[in-house]
Amino acid sequence: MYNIRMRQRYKDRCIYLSKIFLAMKLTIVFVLIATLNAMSTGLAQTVSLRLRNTSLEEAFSSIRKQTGYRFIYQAEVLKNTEKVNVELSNVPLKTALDKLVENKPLTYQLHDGTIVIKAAQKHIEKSTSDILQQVFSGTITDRLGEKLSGVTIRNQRTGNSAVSRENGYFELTNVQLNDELVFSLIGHKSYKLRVVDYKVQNIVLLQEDQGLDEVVVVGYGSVAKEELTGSVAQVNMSEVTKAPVASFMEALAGRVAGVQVSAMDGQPGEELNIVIRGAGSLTQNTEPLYVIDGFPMEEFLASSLNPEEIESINMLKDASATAIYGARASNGVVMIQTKKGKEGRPVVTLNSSLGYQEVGNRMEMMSPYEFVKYHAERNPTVTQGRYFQNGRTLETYRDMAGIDWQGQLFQRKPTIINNLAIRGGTANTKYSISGSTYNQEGVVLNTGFKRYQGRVSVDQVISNKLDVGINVNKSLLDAYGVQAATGSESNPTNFLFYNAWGYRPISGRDDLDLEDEDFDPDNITTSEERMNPIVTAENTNRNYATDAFSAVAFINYEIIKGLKWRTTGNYSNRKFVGDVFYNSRTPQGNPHNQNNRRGINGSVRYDERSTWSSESTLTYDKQFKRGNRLNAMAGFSAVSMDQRIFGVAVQNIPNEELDLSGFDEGTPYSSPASITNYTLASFFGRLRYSFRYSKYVVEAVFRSDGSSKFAPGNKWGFFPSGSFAWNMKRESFLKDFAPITVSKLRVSYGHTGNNRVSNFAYLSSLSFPLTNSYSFNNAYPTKGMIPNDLGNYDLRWENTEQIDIGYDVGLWKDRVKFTVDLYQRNARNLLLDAKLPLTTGFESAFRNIGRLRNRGLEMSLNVQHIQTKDFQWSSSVNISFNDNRVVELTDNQTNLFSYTKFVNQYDSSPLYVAQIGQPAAMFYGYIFDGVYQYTDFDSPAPDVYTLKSHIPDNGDPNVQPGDIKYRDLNGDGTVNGFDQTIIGRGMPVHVGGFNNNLTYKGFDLNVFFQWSYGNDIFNANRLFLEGNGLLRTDLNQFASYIDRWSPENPTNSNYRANGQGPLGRFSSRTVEDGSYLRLKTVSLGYELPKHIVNRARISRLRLNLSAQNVLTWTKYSGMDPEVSVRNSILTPGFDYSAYPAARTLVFGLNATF
Amino acid sequence: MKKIAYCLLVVMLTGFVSCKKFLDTTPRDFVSPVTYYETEEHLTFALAGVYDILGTSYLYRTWYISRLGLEADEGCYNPATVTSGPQVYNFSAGDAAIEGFWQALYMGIYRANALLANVDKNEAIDVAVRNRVRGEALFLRAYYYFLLVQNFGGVPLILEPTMSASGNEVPRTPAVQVYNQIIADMETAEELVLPIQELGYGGQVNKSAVRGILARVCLYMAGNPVKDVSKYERVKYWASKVMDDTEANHKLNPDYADVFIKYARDEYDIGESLFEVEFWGNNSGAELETGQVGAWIGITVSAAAAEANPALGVAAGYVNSTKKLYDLYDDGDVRRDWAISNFTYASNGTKAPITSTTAASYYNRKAAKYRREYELVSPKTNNATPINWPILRFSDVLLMYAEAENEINNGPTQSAIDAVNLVRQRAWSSGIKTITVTSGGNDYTAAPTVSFVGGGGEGAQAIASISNGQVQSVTLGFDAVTGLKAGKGYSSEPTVVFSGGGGSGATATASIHRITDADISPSLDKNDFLELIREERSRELCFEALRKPDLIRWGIFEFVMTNMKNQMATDIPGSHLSLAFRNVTSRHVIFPIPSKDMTLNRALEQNPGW
Repeated sequence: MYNIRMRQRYKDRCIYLSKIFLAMKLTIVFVLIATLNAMSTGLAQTVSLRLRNTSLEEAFSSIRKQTGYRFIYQAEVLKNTEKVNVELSNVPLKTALDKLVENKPLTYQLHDGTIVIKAAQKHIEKSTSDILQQVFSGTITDRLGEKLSGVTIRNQRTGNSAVSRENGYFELTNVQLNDELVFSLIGHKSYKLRVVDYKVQNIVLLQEDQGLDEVVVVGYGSVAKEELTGSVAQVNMSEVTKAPVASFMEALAGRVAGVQVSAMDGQPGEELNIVIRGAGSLTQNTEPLYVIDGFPMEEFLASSLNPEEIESINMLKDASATAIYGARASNGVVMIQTKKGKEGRPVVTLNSSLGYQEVGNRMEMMSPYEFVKYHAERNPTVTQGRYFQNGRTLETYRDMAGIDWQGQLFQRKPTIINNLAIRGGTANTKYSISGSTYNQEGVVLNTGFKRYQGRVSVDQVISNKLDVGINVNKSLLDAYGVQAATGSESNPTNFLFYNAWGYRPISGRDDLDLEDEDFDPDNITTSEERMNPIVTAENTNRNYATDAFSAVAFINYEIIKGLKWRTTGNYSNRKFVGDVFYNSRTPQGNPHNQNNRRGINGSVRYDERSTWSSESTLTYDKQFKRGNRLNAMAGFSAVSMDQRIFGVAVQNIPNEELDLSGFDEGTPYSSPASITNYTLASFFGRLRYSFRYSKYVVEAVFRSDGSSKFAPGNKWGFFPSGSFAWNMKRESFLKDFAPITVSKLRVSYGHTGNNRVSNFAYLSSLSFPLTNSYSFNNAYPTKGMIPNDLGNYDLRWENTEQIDIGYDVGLWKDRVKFTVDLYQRNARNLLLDAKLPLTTGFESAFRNIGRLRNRGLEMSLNVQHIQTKDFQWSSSVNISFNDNRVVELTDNQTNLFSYTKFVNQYDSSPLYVAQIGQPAAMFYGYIFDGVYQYTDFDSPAPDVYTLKSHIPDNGDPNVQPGDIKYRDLNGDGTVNGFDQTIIGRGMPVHVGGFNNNLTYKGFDLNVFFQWSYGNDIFNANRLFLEGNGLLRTDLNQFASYIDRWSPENPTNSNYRANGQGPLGRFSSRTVEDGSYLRLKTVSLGYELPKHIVNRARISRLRLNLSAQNVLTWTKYSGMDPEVSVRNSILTPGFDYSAYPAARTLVFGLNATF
Repeated sequence: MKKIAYCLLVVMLTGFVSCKKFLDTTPRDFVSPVTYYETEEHLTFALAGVYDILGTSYLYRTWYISRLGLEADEGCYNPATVTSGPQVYNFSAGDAAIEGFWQALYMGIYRANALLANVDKNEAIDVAVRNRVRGEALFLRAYYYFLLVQNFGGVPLILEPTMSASGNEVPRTPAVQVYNQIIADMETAEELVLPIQELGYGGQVNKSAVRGILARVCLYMAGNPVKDVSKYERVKYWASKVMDDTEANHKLNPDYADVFIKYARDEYDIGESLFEVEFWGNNSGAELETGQVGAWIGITVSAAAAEANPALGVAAGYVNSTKKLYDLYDDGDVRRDWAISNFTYASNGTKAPITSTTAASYYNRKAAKYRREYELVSPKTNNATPINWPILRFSDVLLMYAEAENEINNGPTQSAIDAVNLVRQRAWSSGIKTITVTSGGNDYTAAPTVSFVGGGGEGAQAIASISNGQVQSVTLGFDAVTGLKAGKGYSSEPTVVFSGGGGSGATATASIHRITDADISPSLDKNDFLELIREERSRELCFEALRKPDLIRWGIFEFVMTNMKNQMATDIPGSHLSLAFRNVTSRHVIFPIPSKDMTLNRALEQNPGW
């Protein structure tokens, strides 16, 4: 009995909730459409119809053509309706509609530019019920579900009115069917409702000027945009996903003011870098904190998330927004919500794309003729022996076609993406099941990236006080193939593109076919690993596989009215398995490589990280009279991360055909093992008070974090913030000024922290590496104990103080929206891997030392230019300036030099310097001053040139005409270490993006530009391939080096053959302007007319053609200006053997069933 | 769901209650110094960590032996592409090699300091063990300071382990005080370490090593730049202690080449080799205990040659000899053709004698003391060898003794002369010197076989060449170790016998090298004797990373290098091999303090000229 009753109640509730939901959904639709059509100008209000035995659909379509009104209805509603015969001329729209629905079980609602056709409820036709059921009642809430009191409900027909009570409940008597009720409340949009039945209604009133996207997800909750006091940037997901990408990060570049996203290079599967409001640390990671469905993650793998599943991304930028995440938030917070199920029938969406990618740009190399000509100048003896035998002369090579190594290495390969999702649910149970495959073959032979991924989320309402949910994701990622920008740190010659470009185009001999050789037999020494790049790419067997699992579960419980308890439990597990196998045809395994001490070798590395966390919050929300509102939240969280690393590296593998499975036959030489963990416990709270319908909002946030990473006594950090918002539109002086729809000032100040140090950085440690043993008396080596790290018990949080002033303005019904933010971030007590004098026995130790300041200006502007029935055009542009300055370094140090370590000859020269008062990464080196010309010399005898006494030499006293010239800054007559200076800037002055959306009928076009201005790139490729700085034999050069100095060509652009001067110098010759403007995305879509696709039982079908990286305008001479292969805060913009950026063309299909 | 809710609730509540405990994580991944130095094994491992520095790449694995220019006038760096770096005397204070050298030594000093601070932590460990460990650590720390002070001058003298990340700006201590500390520490160590005969090998710090190195330290202190000439007495004292140690019974290996063959074969000769850096294995396992002795410095073996003859092993051979060094040797001196290659390895792996006698050909010969073909380890790894490096040999002790005697007594004493003669006699050939054809004979249609009969020796081989039926000349065969197959052990001239060849009547006489030819003149004055010592040290100890410091302490470094440049300008004009000599300036008597430390430690002052 009990059960039956329960079930009945439950059923009732289901129906009730589904009604509410339907109402909400419709409201949302209305609001959306209303917003979209807000500016629709002059919709026709009269219609003429001449219809004979026509279906209603056609009738509606005719009205739509004449008036621009859209019709919304479900197909079933019109099923079995009679054909119509009408003849109307220039009648009001309403009249026409009345005529059409006459005697049909239909009603309609007119709403701005939309007409909603609904089935009329059968029972309402009973006129007797009109009298019986004349009380109309319901509850009024706002969008957040908060009950609204004081709402006036007025019956237009009778003039009766009522006011809603404290609990939002209202009753209105003497209501008849088809009466129109108007709900109004100050600060809210009035809402009209036509009475269709007498069921209890839940009415949602929207705040004025507030659209669908106006609830902003912030840390531990969400807030109406109006009440938002901080700087939170919302990413427009529909724009971001216009062109299919592997990771949402790829599409973020240029989209959000203050957020800089950049790729290291184009290697498939490589994670991108994201920096919010400038680098906040010098030596430590500056990634933001990611919060995925409420789950904060410090080491997040962006590519494990399927971009199609993202519902929203919000970037928390200022301290008021981030302080709630305290000690981990000084680099900003990225909040990501995934898509959830929605009430209604199951909706199946299928998105598939097939794309091709190719290299956007390639380097032009010397032809065989120019190649031989150059080497004959450089080393006549060797060239004579290699190229001028058997009657060959330089002329023999003229017009000879050389081997196109680049052409063989690059390929045009497909990317195939499939996404399938089923989402739906009832009022109480909502589910979402989705899966995707992503398969990208890279533009370089035998490289690529794959992802297989699935997600399930279920939300269940248990009672009106309790609901729970779970969201589980699993992703399998695999990046494979040769890594172009990775090589040995000491030898630049084992990088892929050194060989792809530098490999000679001809051998000069008949008996040596270079394409058949695994390496260049004439050029293989300890310092030169000239390996056939094609063979290298084909044979490199590298697989970096990641298996990422995450689960989030939550419980919400409303303890008493307004007081909600929420607990989330999170678990994530990430297993990384990296396999590398180097067979005898790879540079690392080839026995002919003189630096190969390991024979055929390989390694497997296994790295598993498990994180669990639990967060509990209590939120109290109270609406007071006269639009005042209090929102208080307090919470506790605990996080624990465990990491295990194991692996083995094996050398001298005898049977290479067995591949990885032959490891057991080789000799293990390294077996890394590490188990480590950290924990974090936090208390946090937030108090927000909103006066007078958000005219003034004040907010205070605090968080206290305790981390295991610091010594007892230093574990806890406290991070407060305060902020204020003023919605001027609410003031009397703006209230009635129609052009301004939003005018809001935000001010915030607060502290956040950074704890990104190794888990036990405060402790000294010892280690026993096998390589540090010592053999006594020829015995097997005795293990050596060596001190590993110098601990620092005083280590504590890094503290960042940030102030932000922001202003939002919306004009002409938000047709123009503009946001500007000014900020300053001061990072103090930087957690710095500070260099120590080497006399300590250590290179560095973690210290809280140094200060860094970021100041910036961010602006974004959205404009809807044209908004007509058939054609819409809107644009958005954003620009961010960030000025990064080093304020203080280690113990009065004025310079912090950074090295790239890529070849011995250059190892001792720092390429970067962080100087006090300057940005953190400036290029450092010599100023290139052209080439020594004859006029710089005295010639005491023919062919003898001695430098004129007043002209400084370049460090080599025997300078000759055609040699490289550097500027002698200190005027001591020679160029040496004292003449190094700043030669470029690593960070851009401003970055931004410009987006355009155009729609014409079923077509939509998205054109997106992105830029970076003011940053320089060090093109290290040119050190060796434009001037042959290491004097290597038979090394081909870029075609640009054809224009080099010679007695006949006294140019200043390139020095003569052998004119490179002293080795190991970085100069402004190879520092290039890295600014660029990129036409990043062009996407053209066409949505097939519904009546066509509906026949195929598809509710929506969109086809699109999109192109990525279409065009790039830049002065940079390398393959792509978006490059930073040694990326870190201190060493940005370094280009050496970077994987080229691909240009992609994708055909896609989005279907909804 | 309920379960999860309960779990979370429990987690939350326990979290609240036990925050302190929750945050109290313990490292599971590494050992903390706090819990170390508790057992004898701990001390052994910690000590091995101090030794480890000797075999690191900026010390004796690679750089110190071949790329810091320590061979001075004895050799030149070969690859033409290397135009900067200390090996060619073109470098700045920011040079990575100089910095690496400095860093490695201070790492060793830190490790020794940490061990010395903790050696008595557990007094339950046998005091004898602790004393030995203390002695070896003290010696190694002092030795690292010795390498620092001779190359950089006065340096920060740090005798306690670094405890904190701040407060490490230590100023330089004057060289004299650094020397005094080195001597004090070594003298303490001398009492604590084991005698070499007890150890049975020279790879571990022993009494003879400490005494010999003490002699060297005192010798350097007596010379430039400290010039404390009173220390010659101490040189004599410590050298005598080694020479007169009847229990250790130090004596020279009768075969000069065998000294180095033993290093290659990983054999010990505690008579001669007092202290050596141990390298081991071929990297076939997980260890990386190989060096580049024989690879970077050695005879070049191309990959093709090594493939054709796996007994060779790839060797880069970056250090060439100079003609000056070659010319220092007399014909009877067998050290010449061991120290300087008289052949190259052809690509088929065979030895091709060098026949050219142009001046340039002498500069293309390799520093050849360390030869990979004698290694016993197989397979041979490219450019990585198990060949040990000699830090101190007995012949050095003898020469140091002689030099000190000469200085103390203002001229050579008999014992000084005897010591030098001991070194020279060991190096002297006892084979055939010349062969003179006294009659060409008649009717030879082919070259007759030449044999040597009598004279008490053996092993000489010669080839006759004929012309017009007569023997024109007889020349000794090529030998890769001694240069010529002159044989050995001849005490009187053997009879030269011709047989075969179809003719008859050819006769020849042979002269032999006599051990007494090695002896130096007994009537040299102080300066002549010093000059002889300077040359003799080069002949005996070339390519053992001692030449540059020797020249500096004698105060003749720049002079010698300039002379060398002038000679090369004549011998091999414009060659890249003379780059080092063209680049040398007076500042090169000392390395610059690495610029990294100059910026991090403002208490430091840079060396003059840098």
